[in-house]
Amino acid sequence: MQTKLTESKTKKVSTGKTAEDMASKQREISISEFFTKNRHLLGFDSPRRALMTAVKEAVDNSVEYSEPVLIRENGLIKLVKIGEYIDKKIKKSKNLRINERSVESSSINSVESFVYDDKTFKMEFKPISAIHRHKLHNKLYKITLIGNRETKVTGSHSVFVLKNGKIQSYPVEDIKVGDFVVVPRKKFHIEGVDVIDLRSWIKQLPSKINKNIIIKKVSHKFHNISNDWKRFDYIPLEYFIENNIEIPDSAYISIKAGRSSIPVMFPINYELMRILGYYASEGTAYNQCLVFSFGAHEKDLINDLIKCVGLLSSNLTTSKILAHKTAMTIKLNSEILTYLFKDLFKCGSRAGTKKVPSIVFNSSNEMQKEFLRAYIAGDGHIGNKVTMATISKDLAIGLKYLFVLNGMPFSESVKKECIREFKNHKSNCKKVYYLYYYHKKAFQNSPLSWIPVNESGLREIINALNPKVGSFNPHYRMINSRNSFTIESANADLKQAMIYKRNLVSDERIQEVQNLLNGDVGFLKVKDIEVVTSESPYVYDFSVPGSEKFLGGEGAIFLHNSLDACEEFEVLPEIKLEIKRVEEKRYTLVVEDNGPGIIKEQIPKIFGKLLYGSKFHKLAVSRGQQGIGISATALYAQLTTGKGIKILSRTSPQKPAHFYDLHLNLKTNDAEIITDEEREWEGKEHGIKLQVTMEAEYLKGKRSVDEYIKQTAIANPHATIYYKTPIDDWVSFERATQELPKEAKEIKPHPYGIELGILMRMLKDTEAKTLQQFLTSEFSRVSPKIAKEICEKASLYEKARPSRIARQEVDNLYKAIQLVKIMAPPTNCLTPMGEDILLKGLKKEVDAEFYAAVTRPPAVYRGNPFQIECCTGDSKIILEDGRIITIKKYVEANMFDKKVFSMDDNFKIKPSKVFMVHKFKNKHKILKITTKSGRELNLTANNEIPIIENGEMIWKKVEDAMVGEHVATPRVINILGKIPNLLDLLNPEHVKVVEQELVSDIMDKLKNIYGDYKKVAQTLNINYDIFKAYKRTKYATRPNLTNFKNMVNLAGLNFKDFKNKINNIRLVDTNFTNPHSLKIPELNEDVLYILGLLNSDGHISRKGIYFINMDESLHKSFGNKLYSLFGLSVKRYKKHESSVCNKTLYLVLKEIERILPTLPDNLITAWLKGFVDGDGWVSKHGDIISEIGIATAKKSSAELVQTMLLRLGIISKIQKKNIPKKFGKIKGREIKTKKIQYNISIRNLKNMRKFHSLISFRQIKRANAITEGIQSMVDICCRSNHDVIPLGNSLFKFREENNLFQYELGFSDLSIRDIEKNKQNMSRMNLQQMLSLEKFDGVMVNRLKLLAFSDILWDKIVNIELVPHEEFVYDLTVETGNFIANNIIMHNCAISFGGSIPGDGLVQVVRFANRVPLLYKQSDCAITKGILNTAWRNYGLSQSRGALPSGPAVLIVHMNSVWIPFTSESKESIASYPAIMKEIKLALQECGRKLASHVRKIKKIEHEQKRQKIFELYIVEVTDSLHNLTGENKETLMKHFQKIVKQRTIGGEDGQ
Amino acid sequence: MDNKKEREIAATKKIKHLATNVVKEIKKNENPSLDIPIRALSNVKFNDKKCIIELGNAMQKRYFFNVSQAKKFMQTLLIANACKDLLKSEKTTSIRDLYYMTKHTLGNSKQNTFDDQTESDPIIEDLEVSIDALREELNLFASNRGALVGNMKVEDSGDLINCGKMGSGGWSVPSIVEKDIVKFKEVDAKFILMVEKDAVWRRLNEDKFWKKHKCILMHGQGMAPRGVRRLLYRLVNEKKLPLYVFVDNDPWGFYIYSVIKQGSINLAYESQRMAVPSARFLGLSSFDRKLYNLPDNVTIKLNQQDVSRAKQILQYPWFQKKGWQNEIKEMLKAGVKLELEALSSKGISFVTEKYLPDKIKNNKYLD
Repeated sequence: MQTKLTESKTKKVSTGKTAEDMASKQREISISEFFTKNRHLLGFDSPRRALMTAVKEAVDNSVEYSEPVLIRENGLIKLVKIGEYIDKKIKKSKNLRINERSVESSSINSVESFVYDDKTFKMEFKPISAIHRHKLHNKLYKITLIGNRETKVTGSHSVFVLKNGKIQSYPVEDIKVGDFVVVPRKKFHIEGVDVIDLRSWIKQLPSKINKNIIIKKVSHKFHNISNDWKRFDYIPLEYFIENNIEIPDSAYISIKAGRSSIPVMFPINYELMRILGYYASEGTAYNQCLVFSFGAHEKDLINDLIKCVGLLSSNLTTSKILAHKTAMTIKLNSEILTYLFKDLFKCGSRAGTKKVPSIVFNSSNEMQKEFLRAYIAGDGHIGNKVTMATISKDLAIGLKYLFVLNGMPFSESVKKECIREFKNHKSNCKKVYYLYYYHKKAFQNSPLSWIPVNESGLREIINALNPKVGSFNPHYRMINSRNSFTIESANADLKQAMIYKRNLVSDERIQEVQNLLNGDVGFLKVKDIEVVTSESPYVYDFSVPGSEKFLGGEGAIFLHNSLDACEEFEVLPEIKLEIKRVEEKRYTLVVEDNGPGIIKEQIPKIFGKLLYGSKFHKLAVSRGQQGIGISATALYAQLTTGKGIKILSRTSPQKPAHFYDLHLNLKTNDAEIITDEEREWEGKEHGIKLQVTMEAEYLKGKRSVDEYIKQTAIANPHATIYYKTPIDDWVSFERATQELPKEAKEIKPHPYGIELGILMRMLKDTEAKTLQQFLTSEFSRVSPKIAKEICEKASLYEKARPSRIARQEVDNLYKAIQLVKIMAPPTNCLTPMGEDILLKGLKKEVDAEFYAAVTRPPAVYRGNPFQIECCTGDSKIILEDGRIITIKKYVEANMFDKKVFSMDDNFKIKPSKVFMVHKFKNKHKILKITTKSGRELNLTANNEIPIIENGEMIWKKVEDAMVGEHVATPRVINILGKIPNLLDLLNPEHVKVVEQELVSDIMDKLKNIYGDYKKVAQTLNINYDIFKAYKRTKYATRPNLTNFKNMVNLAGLNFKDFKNKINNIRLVDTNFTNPHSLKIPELNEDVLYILGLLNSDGHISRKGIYFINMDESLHKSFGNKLYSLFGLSVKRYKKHESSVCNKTLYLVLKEIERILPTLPDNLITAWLKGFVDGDGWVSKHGDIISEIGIATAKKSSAELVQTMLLRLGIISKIQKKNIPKKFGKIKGREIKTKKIQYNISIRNLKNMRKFHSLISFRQIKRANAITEGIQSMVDICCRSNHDVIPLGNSLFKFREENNLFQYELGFSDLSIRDIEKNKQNMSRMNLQQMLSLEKFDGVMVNRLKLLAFSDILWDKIVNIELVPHEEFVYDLTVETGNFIANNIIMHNCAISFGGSIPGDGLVQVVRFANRVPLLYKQSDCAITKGILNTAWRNYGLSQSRGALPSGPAVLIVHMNSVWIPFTSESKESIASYPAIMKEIKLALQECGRKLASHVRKIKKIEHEQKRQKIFELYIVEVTDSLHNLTGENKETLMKHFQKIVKQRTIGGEDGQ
Repeated sequence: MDNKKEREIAATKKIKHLATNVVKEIKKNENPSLDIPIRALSNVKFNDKKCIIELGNAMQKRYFFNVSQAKKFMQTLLIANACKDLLKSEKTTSIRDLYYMTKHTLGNSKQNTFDDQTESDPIIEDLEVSIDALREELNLFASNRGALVGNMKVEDSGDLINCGKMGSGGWSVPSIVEKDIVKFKEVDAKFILMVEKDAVWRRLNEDKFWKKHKCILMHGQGMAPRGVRRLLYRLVNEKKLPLYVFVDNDPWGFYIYSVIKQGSINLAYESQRMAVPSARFLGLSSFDRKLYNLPDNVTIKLNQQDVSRAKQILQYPWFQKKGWQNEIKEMLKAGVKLELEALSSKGISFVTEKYLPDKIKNNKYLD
């Protein structure tokens, strides 16, 4: 700049003007000239870049303000008084700051605040960064909510209020009665501690008590102690403290005189909770004992307390004292326990001072409830709601917070002091706090479970979503008449409404409301607000960065922390950027942030002076670097459009926003504020908004503003950016992390990086007295020793005055510095993103298969520390055949020679050929359809499904389908199963034929034919010795099935005849150490029955086969069948368990399980018989069966049963049920169980009859129930509304064709009318009945007949919902044009998943410097050069010489330094200093290695799969040829081949 | 015909043996393999005494479980299988036929067993070597190539053919010319002239060169096919006729001559029954340019390939005779090559009337 100024000096001197004139002229010219001449340096050389630069400057400078310190430690949950707490902390604090408004602040570690998340409304703990207190300036308000929750806050303090569908913070002053305030609603999960270590506690006790404490039960562990101690087994605590010995954790402690002791590792358990609960209600603490007073009749409580004390520690003693007739006192004689309760647990000692012990807050939710239970047992009254009363305010507050944490709704009331008179006795009654807890039944009545319809925005949304479907659901009618809904039904309604989503509401809006409904928070109405007086001169506050809220108040309300006390802007940045097109080549740029805003005095400096910046002098990482940009932008704007820059700034919520209109005075190089006025700035507490209009051009593509914003989002995952272009609507880049970047430290320059001129200047400017002092104080990493060394090397006296050092001497000094070894500069001045943050940012914006990030340790160039970060995302193209869902498997495993089931034109289900399979990239939404019978299917929105309308089937797009419509599903699936021989299922190599007689018989025959065994063995290719051993009876070896078969064939016999003779087999799988022989039955119904039993109520494992059931008859039949089929005896274990341990049986059963669906109907029936005997039930209403059900825990088994039932033509319905928690008692402890259960229910009489005739039950009770039920039922009892056919208009047409009146059809004319109007549907049975009545004519009758006797069940759609996007969808082309998926017939489509980056072309390079994306001058940049110089081929990416690597990857490099050497002022590329290049290369290489291992892995898998596929193809050919050439059995060859393939491909090593 | 049957049985046995070995390996769960003698320069020896190229003993194992060999392994077995069927049905077929017989699509893939005949031909050769049976013994033949004309009568598959009355086309030499198929009846010739190209052969035929000089005139359409070579062998050995070879003056022509004389690297295993060590190289010699004053404009410049091929040949043990070394070096020195047709520049019948008679008469040949 300086040189520019002199250069442009005017040459004419002779005009006679004064020097002053000339000087002012000079300035005027220079500024505009400098700018116009150097536009390119500043990044304004083209309109396109001008826009870019403007955006860049504006955004960079907003993000910068937020660099806090975040620390998080695990703390104990405490309920403290904020004033007390902060006062104490501030008193102790070492870093107390007081600002001009006398707010005292102190930063704080390891404390977290209970907050809810702004987006999801889930509750969590967040660290508090600072605490504040200040004198009370304005009024103090008390807010009372419904249920009498209260809190006191200053008028400017905010609470969270639900308004216009959003939760916003409002100052209390603005809150009105009737507003809804946010409070916690749901349970907050607390892990809890099991035990507390009392050792540190006892050591800290005052010496008075301390010295009396003795440690028991550990004397045997110590030798050099007095005999007395040994004899009485105690050691004084003092001994441990004096000798500094750790107390063993098995120790017990007690106070001298006391006899009772407690373990030093004090257990936190249910017993303790009960004791604490009783104490809170009935207890009193005296000096040496705890006393509980009960009524004499409360025997249960008394016994329970005594029991609990005993369980807590066996050394605790209690004594019962009958105080008077009606009162019983329990005295717990333990001084130490008393002290523990008072001192550590802070239970309080008398009724008025009692508290909820802190330990209770830190125990698990269950224990907290245990405490409450015990408390309620003592002080509560259980009615419709549970009423509790206490005179301790602290206890009441504590209880309320316990309720809050456990999601228990409550309300409270206070009874003031009064004087009660009773039989002439006057007694003073203290203030009593009543708490009411709404337990289960009353839960719905609690205002917590209700949501206001209006304020939450629910009404607006439902109305917008559903302008006309109002009549569909009764709730919709209420939406306009009711003020609030229960959250549960609101949720259901919203879901319903979503199905008919019209595009009037944005998805985000719906999501917001859903979050409200699903969140952990509830909303309570404000009942009263009043001004109160304060007890304390101060008010207090917390800073919770990223959340700015905490849970407080007597009634547990979420409070906003008031920023009036918080001058630190530790907020997560939120930036809004809008580009508006004004006219051709003229755009307006609006940038808004939530930073601290700027004050008026700064404005002219920031926007006026070209070289004014706050960053120039400071050596710490910051974004904008030179700080030249925004003023240049303003200048550019003014030069091109003549318009100034408009600024809206607000520095705090207390102050109004200021609007400034700014003009640059080119003569004075100053900014002139033309307008300055106060403005309203809704919804913004602090921040700045800039508006500038300039000549620019908005384009899309590479190096565009869009790209810049996207990359900024990657590098700053803690910021949220909203962005709007002239073309697109608002786009938001959500933050991916709540963690703010680490705060950068300012450092002194490192001597290595200093230049001679600067060194000279520094020597002049320094305040140091000596050279040594100068070196140590002005530079980093220079110790006095090193300074001395430098001086010696430079031959300078270390005590010389710095300012007196001569030019030549400085040179020497400079050289000496380079010679001395100095430690690298400190690097805490850097703010690297860190690998995980980098990954977070990347994952957010780039969809890839593989991510890797590398952070290099900081390095130094020219004395300036810097750090390189690098990241690659690699596409999934390499991995296209990844994991699979069924249809995907079908498509990708080339299984399409197998037919699939589909529906033909006559509504019959039959198998059809598949012509083609497809895999598409999905461009549509994915919708999930759920039908009434419990079937689910995910489909793309444009996919078509068969829907019946007016008796006609039409294909309808899923997105057009409506809930309530009927979709075609298969009613029957006819599969002609076949019965395989059990022996064929097993690997013949593994099966040994145990039948000795049979074997020796064959051997004899062979001997007769061939003369001797040797010859036979040779022909059979069996070892002679082994062959001989076949004949032995003892220690015999047995031939495997293959060998046996060969023997039989050799003997000229037919193996088929022998198959049936083999009764015993044994398996010798390699995994079996001890195979048992097994009788092999035919695969008959009994086998399947047993399998059914085991599948429902048993389990099959290698270790054994278990059947667990309470029914004796089943056990009997299980045992008998196993014996008769397999020759195995069942062992009975206890009453309900039968087991048999046979590994062979295990294998056999597993094989049958595998082929189950291919078996014929009779075997399927047998399996179902077994299954229902295990898990089935009948529920009856009087004589009538309402339902036959089968319950199973696994969804897959439920679906299997449903499909199998379908095979038999029985239609069932799957319902998922959450079984409520069950309480059981085992060994005195309560055990809770919770599980998900799938119920398959059969309801319709026809189906039940079928069930009864085909399957039924074998337990007498159930069998009788079903038989009686079915007999007593008549058709009319159960006209099914399930198997119905929506005939609608077609019935009318049918009637018309046949000239019939409604009543002539044999049904009531009313119902026929309803059917024709689609208000009712005709059941299949009725339709069949109707059609059988008479001979009808016309076209319609045939259609009706087709429908009546079709294989199709018209299943009602009960839900359609949006599910997450899937990348790929699959489809089949079937001869009939449809196929059956998940038991829903569908039109060519299903889905899978994926994610990818375009794979062709060069790698995308993204460069960052100090988190700022670099877009231009890519080729100049050190980063690009580093990438070019890296040999990417070594890492699996292809790369041509001197070019970027190509492949589906995004490569990100981030350089972080206190001083980034840009090649130009526009900050677009980094200069290639060798040190930087080296580090970049190292980072890239490390990244490359990570990538390479990934690519190798993928390639290897790919290669292996290819290999295997090749081999599989060739094997067929080779086997055929070999078979033809040698006559060798094809199957044998095949088996061997498969074995070799297994060995040699995946898992095995390479073939050759 | 008994002879033929025996041969067929022997061949079938050999094929079966090959397959049985593979099956044995499979049953041992080993990686199945085939032993195939290497047919490359590295495994070829020049037998100084016999003056023929012989195949060495080096074997190559062809494994199935090796991605690069799997397909060839499969193909070998397919070919073996097809050959076995051929032998069984006592039919002969062309190798192109065999290619189609064994070509089909694999499973559900889009791969074929063979994509091209060039894939199947070497496999057939592999099979021949590995079971030590000649193609003819496997009932395979290649398409007819090459023709013959001369004062000779032959019986071909029972038909009597007068090779002197075959018109301009001559008698097309079949691929299989074994004794049981082709029998020489009346041979009235003093020598055999083997010409590289059929164009030159036509000229000689048209001029009735064979009548004038009493010779058998043959061509092999470039590299002499097996049928032609076998026929030459038989004629030379049975009828004791000298053989002159007349080829282009380029490295390829030289090599054609050397194949006829000593056998080829690729079919080294068949040299025994095909090579004619007594064959003489009549021309075109590099020295002919000067000798017959051929104009410069008929020469063609050697290209890169020619030069490298010439240098290769220079290294072959069977080109180590001084005459040949001079010959090749002269060609390299001049940097030009000559086609047979170049002789026509001296007049259309220069070849028949001047050049050849001169060369034969004056024994201007290379051995």
